[in-house]
Amino acid sequence: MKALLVAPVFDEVTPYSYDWSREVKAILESKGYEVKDLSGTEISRKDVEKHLDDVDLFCFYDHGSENALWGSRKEPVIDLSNVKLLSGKEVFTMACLSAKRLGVEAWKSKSKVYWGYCEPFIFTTDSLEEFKKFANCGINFRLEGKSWKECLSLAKELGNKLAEELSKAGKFIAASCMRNDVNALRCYNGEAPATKCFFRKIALKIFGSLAGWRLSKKTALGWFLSLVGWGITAHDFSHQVWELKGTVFSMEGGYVGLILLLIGLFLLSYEHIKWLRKL
Amino acid sequence: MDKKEIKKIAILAIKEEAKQKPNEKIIIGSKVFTFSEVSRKAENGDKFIQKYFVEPYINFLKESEEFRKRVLSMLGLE
Repeated sequence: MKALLVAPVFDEVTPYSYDWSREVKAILESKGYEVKDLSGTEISRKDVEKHLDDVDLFCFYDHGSENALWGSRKEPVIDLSNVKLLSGKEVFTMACLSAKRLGVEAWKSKSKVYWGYCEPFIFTTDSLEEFKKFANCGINFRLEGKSWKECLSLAKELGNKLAEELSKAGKFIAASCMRNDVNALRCYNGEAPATKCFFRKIALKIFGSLAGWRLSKKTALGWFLSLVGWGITAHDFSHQVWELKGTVFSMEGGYVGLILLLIGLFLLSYEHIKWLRKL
Repeated sequence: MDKKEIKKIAILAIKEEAKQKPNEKIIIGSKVFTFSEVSRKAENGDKFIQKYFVEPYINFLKESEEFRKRVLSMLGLE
């Protein structure tokens, strides 16, 4: 098994995540992984892309944003334009915010799993060991043979236990930060991404998580406009028929056309959803 | 306990802990603050600190009775 570990160092914060990533490297190697380690300095996108091809696991320890994982202040190593490279891989990140959008896109692009945080990862220097333990626990559980779903649940359990211990020790600021990290942790495939968007929720309910997430806003708008247009045409045509014949019920070519349009729209939509599920 | 009261307790608790460990640091994403800076910013209503630190602290106070009891005990308000 091959893993790519990326832990850049380029500001005041990144030495902490770099330090935590050393434990992950040791654990991976002890479990027989061949680890390609791109760490300790600024890391370029080109380097990461070059080594991503033949790995099973991608670990990233550093700054993240909603759309990207950063290798330096200027250059993201992974963002929405190369997220497809994560397809078929297990992705484990200790990075702020990336589960919010990049993680969802990685999951939609069929990465086997995306582990990350949907809010900033917060920690304090008076409890570094506890935060390191929490940051690394997911990959530890996984290497013990747990499913990703179990890993998520065990990680949240451990995080809450650590928050409790910190609070008992009078480290309330650290306890609150730990609690924040527990709440921000996401594992797509352990759990499908959640959404606050009302329309996305409807799509997820009707078409299931994969097709529901892959359905674009433009497609939904296209369906909406087609159905509204169809309704207006049907109403207008039946009104004309009623004016001419005194009833709306009459065998007219217009009605046949409208029925064919409706069947055609449903068939196209059905095929589109089937295609989205297969992607 | 109403929202204002909980917020007041949160700020007092943050100030108290910051007094004990003023030079310890809190790292929020890519930003680094000492406890004393965070305490000052929390008191002054700094938006970033409110959103990413004070509000989660308040939520923890609301959700966990144990946490609330310990914080109140530290403040001598129990």
